[in-house]
Amino acid sequence: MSAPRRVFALIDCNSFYCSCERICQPELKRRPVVVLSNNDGCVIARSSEAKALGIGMGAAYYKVRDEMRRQGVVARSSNYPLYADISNRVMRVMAEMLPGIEVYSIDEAWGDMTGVADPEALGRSIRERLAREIGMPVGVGISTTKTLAKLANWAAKKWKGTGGVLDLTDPIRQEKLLRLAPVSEVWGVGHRSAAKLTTLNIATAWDLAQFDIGTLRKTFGVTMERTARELRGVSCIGFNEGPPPKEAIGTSKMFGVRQTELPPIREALAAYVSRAAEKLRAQNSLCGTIQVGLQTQLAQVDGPRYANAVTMALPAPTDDTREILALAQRGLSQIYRPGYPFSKCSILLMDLSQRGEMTPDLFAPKPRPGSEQLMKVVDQINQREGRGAVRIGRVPAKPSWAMRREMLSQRYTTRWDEVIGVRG
Amino acid sequence: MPSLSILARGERLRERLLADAADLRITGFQSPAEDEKEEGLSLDRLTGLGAPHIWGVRVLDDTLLGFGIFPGDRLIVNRAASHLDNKLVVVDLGDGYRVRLVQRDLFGGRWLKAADPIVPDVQLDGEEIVEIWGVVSWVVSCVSS
Repeated sequence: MSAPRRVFALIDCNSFYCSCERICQPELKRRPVVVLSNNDGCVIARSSEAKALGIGMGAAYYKVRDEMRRQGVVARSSNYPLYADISNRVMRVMAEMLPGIEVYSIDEAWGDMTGVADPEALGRSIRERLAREIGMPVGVGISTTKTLAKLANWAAKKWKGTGGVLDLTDPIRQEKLLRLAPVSEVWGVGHRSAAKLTTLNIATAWDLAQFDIGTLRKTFGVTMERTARELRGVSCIGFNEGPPPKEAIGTSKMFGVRQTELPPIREALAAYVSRAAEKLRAQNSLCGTIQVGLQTQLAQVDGPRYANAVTMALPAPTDDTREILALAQRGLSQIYRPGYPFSKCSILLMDLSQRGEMTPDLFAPKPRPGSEQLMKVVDQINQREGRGAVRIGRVPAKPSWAMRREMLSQRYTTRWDEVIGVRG
Repeated sequence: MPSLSILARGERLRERLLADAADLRITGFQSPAEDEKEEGLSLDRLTGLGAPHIWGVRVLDDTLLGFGIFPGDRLIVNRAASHLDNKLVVVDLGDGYRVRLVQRDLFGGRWLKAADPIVPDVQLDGEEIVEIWGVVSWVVSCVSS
């Protein structure tokens, strides 16, 4: 007996950040919505009505603000605690309904539908459940390879007649869609390669699938070859076993306001190091080397510009916030220059190893007593009471350098005093 | 928020804060109770909180007193429930989420009744489509403060 044919589904949320805002603020359902990046810099998510009004992805907020106000568009600062919670709910419903899922990003997941009798019906019931229980609209694309499933998902969203679900397991329907789909919509084909493909007379996904595989490999490399094979229905990209632990962990954020003095920058660095060390401990790693960076706004042509970074080795691999921060502050002293309007500092933890994987160095300085337990307690308290409940003394509760988030909605799903309000 | 400095007194903190995580074990004489041990009470398990379809909401004012629900009460809402008759439901009537009681009339039609009898009933299966956001399954009320 041969193994059943692989069937993949790609399920992705429509305008995810905007949809999250709408779930908790029903008055937004009837208005166009956009969500802004950190520091309220630019537009990073648009509801379909906002797209129709011509608000561009990545548009600078200060440039489109007045126009948006005139059109009645509502803007929100990015509320990541809310998005993370809603994403988690969505993924858990999918995991419950599918034999297997692979979470691909905050708003999309691959589903394993191999052996499912009626994939389209399953796709529809997933879509209905997510709409009812969470209020999240999704599109579902189903096919025999990941690349085809992704293309089916694109089509499911584009053509209303599909009802948001498109089963593309049948080769005849596959060919129909491939002939319609522009090559730029194929997963893995970027802007630049799309332009290059056009010069080879490849305009649709069908053209790419039919093109000579050898030529594709020679001109574009194995990734494009794999894409073309996948479009022909040959599955080359399987399910991941889950991503390996990260090899470097970084935290860097723009300051809400430019900073010239050292003390507030030291505070920001302490906050970023705390967060990075938390991530380090969450994946059970130790770090051996760190890099501290500091820069002014480099895009600004007029005005003084400066950027520098320093890489330093820790005396022994550690995950103790205090050890890492002490070294990072020394690094900051080395690269700080007075008088510049700094816009960003960053910390990168590198040279990571898993706890217990390395033989400890006999001659390295002994770790602080109880360090491991203390960090565990700190992480535990912060998980329960909210990030920053226990923090390094240098980090203030309301920092002057904090990101601008003037249109931030409440943490509707993670704080009892901020949950959705109801009346009689 | 008061700030707290981190001191290297890990052991003492561990004793005081990790007691629930680190299971306390009898090291001397064993008791048969050890074999019969059960998990403690959990409001999460009772109410289903933590499941993707269970949501928490907060009562903003005293307009639900007629249902015995007080301002500041937290409601646990089940968004997967489908039986609505004689249940309190959360609906979006166009001006934010509201709590209503679903009742059938003599002819089987379903109506949304407000806690305050002055508020007119709204027909559930009428011309205008009313979306049921969820069914209230628990009321969490603090009575000691």
